Amino acid sequence: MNGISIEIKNLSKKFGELSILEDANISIDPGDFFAIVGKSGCGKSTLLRLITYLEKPTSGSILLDGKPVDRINSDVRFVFQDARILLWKNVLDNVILGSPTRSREDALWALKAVGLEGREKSWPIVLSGGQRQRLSLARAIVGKPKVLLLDEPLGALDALTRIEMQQLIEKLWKEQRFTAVLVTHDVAEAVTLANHVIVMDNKKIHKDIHVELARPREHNRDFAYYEEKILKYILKPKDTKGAEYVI
Amino acid sequence: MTAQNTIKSHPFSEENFLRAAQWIIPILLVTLWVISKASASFKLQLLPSPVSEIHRTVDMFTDGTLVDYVFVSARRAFTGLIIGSVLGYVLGMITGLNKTFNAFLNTTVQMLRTIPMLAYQPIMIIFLGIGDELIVFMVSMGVFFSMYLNTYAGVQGLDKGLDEMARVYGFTRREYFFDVVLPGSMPNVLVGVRIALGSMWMMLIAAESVSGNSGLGYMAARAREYLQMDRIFMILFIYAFFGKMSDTIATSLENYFLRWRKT
Ligand SMILES: Nc1ncnc2c1ncn2[C@@H]1O[C@H](COP(=O)(O)OP(=O)(O)OP(=O)(O)O)[C@@H](O)[C@H]1O
Ligand SMILES: [Mg+2]
Repeated sequence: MNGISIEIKNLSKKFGELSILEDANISIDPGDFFAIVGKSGCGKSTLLRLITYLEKPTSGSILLDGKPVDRINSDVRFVFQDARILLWKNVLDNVILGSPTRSREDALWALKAVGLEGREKSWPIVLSGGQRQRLSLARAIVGKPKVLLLDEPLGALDALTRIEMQQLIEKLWKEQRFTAVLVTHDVAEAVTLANHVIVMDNKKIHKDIHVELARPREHNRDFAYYEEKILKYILKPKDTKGAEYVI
Repeated sequence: MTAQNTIKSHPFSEENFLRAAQWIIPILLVTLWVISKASASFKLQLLPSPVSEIHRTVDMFTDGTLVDYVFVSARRAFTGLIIGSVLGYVLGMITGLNKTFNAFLNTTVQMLRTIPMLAYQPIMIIFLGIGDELIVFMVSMGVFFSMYLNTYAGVQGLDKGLDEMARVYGFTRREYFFDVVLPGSMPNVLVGVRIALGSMWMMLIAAESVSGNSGLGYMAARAREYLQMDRIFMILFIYAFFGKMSDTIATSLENYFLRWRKT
C-alpha cells in the first residue's frame, strides 16, 4: 500500500468575512478513493487546496498519515482542471519537472503508464485535450505520490474521452494504490470511480455515501440507485438530515 | 528525390508564392514611381527620376559619405539598442517579479514614458551636450520603454495557475525563473523587441536631425532644408532597407524562441 490516510478534523476556512467551510470532518483510509461532489462555488477546490497546503486552515487540522500538514509536500500531488502544462517544454521535460528527483527514467515510465509513449518530444500545443490531461496525470504520478488530488480533471473533455480517462485513472489507482480524492461535477463519474462519495453543500460536509459496487463498474440498476441517491442529497440536502451509510 | 520533395521544390508551391508575395507591393511602388516620372507631368518636376537617383546613389557611395553616414548611424542605433534593451529587460523582469521594486520603480517609469521625448530633450542637452551621447541616450530611452513595458506586462501576465503548479511541484527558484517566468514572458518580450526596433529608428532619425552633424538623420534634415529630392528619396530607400532588416531579425528571434507555438 502506497497511500496514506487523510484525517480532516473540525476544519474551517474563511476568506476574510466569507466562510467557505465550517467544522468539516472527513476520514480517509490509506489507499481509498473518495469523490467530492457539490454545487459550483461550494468550496471543493478550496478543500483540496487546504490538503495541499496551498491554503491554510482558519481553524481545525488536517493530518496526513497522522502528521499535521505544515508545508507543501512531494507526497501530495495535484491534478488541475486546466492542465497547467508548460507549453514551452516538450512532453518529456514537463513530466521530468514533476519528478521530485527530476528523474528522466521515472518520467519515461510515467508517460508509458498514461499511454503517451512516443510523444516525448512533442510540444504540448499539438496535444489534444485528453492527451494534455494524460500528460498532467503523468506529471502527477511520476514521483509515486502517496496522495493524488484531482480537481475536476476531466471537466473540459468530451464524453467519450472522459470514459477513457476514467478508466485510466482507475487503472493507475489500482496499480499504485495512492489515496485518491477526486472533485467532480459529474455524479456518474463519482459513482464510477469512488468508494466513498462526499456531498458538500452550504459550507458543510455531508456524511459520505459508501459505494459498494464491483469494479469495473457498469451502468446497471445498482449504479443508477447510487446516482439518484447522491443527486437527491445535492439537490435538497436540507430534507435529508445526516445522510446514512448504505451498506 | 522522393515525390514529396518534388512537390516542395516546385516553383509554384505555396511557400515560394508567399515568399514572392511580400515583394509585390514594394515593386508596384517603384513601378509607379518610374511610370509617373516617365509620363512627365510638370507637377512632378520635383520628383527625382530613377536615373538621376541611381547616379546620386553611386556618387555618394563612391565618395564615401553615404557609407560613413550609414556606419555612424548604425553604431549609434546599435549602442542605444543594447543599452536600452538590456536595461528595459532587466528592470521589467525585476519590477514584474518583486513587489518592493515594483512599488519603488514601476510608477516612475510609467509616468516618465508618457512624456514625449522631445519635451525633455533640451534638459538632456544640459547634461549630455548635443553630440553622440545625446543621440545614443535618446535611442536608448525609446528602446528602454518598449522593452520595459512589454517585459513587465509579460511577467505580470503570466498565468497565476502556473505559479501554483510550480509551488505544488516543488520548483526551485532557479527552475521557476528559467522554466516558467523567462519562457512564459517571451511572447511579450518579443513584441517588445519588435516595437523597440521600430522606436530605435524613429528616435535615431529624430535625434540626428535635431542635434547631429553626421548620420542618416542629419543627412535627411539637410536634404529637406535644401529640397534635395534625390537624397530624400535615397534615404527613404535606406530606411526601408533597415526596416526590412529589423523585421527579419525580429521574425527569426520569434521563430527560434517561440518555436513551441508553431504547430
Ligand atoms: N483566494 C480567495 N479569496 C477569496 N475568496 C475565495 C478565494 N478562493 C476561493 N474563494 C471563494 O470561495 C468559494 C469556494 O471556491 P472554490 O473554488 O473552492 O469552489 P468550488 O466548489 O471548487 O467551485 P467550482 O465547482 O466552480 O470549481 C467561492 O465563493 C470563491 O469565490
Ligand atoms: Mg473548483
